[in-house]
Amino acid sequence: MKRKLVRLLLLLLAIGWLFYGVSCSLLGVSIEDRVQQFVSDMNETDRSDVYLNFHPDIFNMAGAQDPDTWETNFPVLKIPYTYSALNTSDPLNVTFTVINTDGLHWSIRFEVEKLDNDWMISEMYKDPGDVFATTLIIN
Amino acid sequence: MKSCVLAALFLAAALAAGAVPAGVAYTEGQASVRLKSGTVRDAAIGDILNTGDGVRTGADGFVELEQRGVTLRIDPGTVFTLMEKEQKGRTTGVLSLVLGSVKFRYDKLTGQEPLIQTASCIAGVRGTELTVYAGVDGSALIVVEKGAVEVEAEGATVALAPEEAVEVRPGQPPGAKFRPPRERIDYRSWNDEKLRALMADPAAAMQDVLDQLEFHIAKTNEAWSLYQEYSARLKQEREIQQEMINAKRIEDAQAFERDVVHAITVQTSNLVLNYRYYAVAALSLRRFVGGRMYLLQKAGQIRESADSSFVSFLAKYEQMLSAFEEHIIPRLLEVDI
Repeated sequence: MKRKLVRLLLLLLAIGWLFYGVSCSLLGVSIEDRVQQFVSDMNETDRSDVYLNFHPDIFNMAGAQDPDTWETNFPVLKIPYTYSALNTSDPLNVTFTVINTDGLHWSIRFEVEKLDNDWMISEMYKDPGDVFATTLIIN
Repeated sequence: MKSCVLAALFLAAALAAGAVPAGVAYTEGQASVRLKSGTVRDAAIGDILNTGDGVRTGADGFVELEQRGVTLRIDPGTVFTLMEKEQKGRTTGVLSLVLGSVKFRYDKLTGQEPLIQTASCIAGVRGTELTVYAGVDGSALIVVEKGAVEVEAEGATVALAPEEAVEVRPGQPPGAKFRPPRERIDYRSWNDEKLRALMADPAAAMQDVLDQLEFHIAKTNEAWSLYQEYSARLKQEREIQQEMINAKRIEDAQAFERDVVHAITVQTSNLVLNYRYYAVAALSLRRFVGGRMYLLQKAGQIRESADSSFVSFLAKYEQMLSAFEEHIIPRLLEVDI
């Protein structure tokens, strides 16, 4: 009887795991997941995969691919970076604040775009103040 | 002044005409697109190419690309890439032709046309119809049908008017202008001529490529050393900022970030873009011009016994490989190769 119960439990676990995997691949990466992944990548010492958060069609993939870009903007020395005030209500205006280990903060704005089931970053703004620049306009 | 750091990288690029994506309007024969991610696939109508993406056509391949306001006809046997670089604070699109020929036809000029680059020269477009040929030895031939084009190489510039052409050999300033034949120049005959010259004096041809590579190396190193300089300045300013943080003056440190650190961060990020640009251009030169010359020479030597000209060629080729490995490889990323 005990053995049957263990088997049933294992079976339920396997089904649950399978269901979780299938639903994840069906639902894809949400905007919240993408922001979390990006910030988590900033907390890695190896930044060679950061570009994978970006839509493959972004204009400056060469810059995004280069870890020097990220080291310049988010020095490894200031790990861990955390984020707060995430607003994902508009995919063209995803905003949040990144805070470094010293408590310095930057306002970040993403424009995100869906690629298959995953939200990817198509544009990124970073500002040391509280208001986003409005002088640069995408055409 | 409010501003964006990464905007310089991800947005300024979008403002330049050259950064506008190009769509494949027509394709036939053997033609592939190489995406900046490294993926290579057959070209298909409707494909969208962005900065860093390239097109390669086989002996029977043909691709027509449409970018906003310009149609590019990519002929057989061509290697072509969409690139960009930072110039005077703004990102400029560069249409890079490594080998083969491309005809550019502009509907109208906006003054923000991307530069056209070959292994031996850069052309600033002021014309509406021109064809650029890039030979196996790194030479370029620019033929203007309508409008005007400025061709720059080795610090010298030649302005071309309609029905004028100029040839540029690698590592040399543009040659004398001439009137091209009325009928379209046959790329294969022109390139065969380059090939014959290359075979006649392979060491001299490789020396030209070496000179051109040295130009790219100098530019890569210049951007890299500026990047190092700005990085060091950034580090210094961040150290000053750290003192404020240590003294618990977080608000002052935040204001310092906005007023001082931010501007240097933007400039440093732009320099990353520039050294990447020249390093990737050097990679194309080494791969499609130098590498191809080596294969041609090697094939010739298999048929005939090795002669002294091949030995001198090989010495120059090895010199090129060694310069490439020393100066360019460290600036390349795995995804480039």
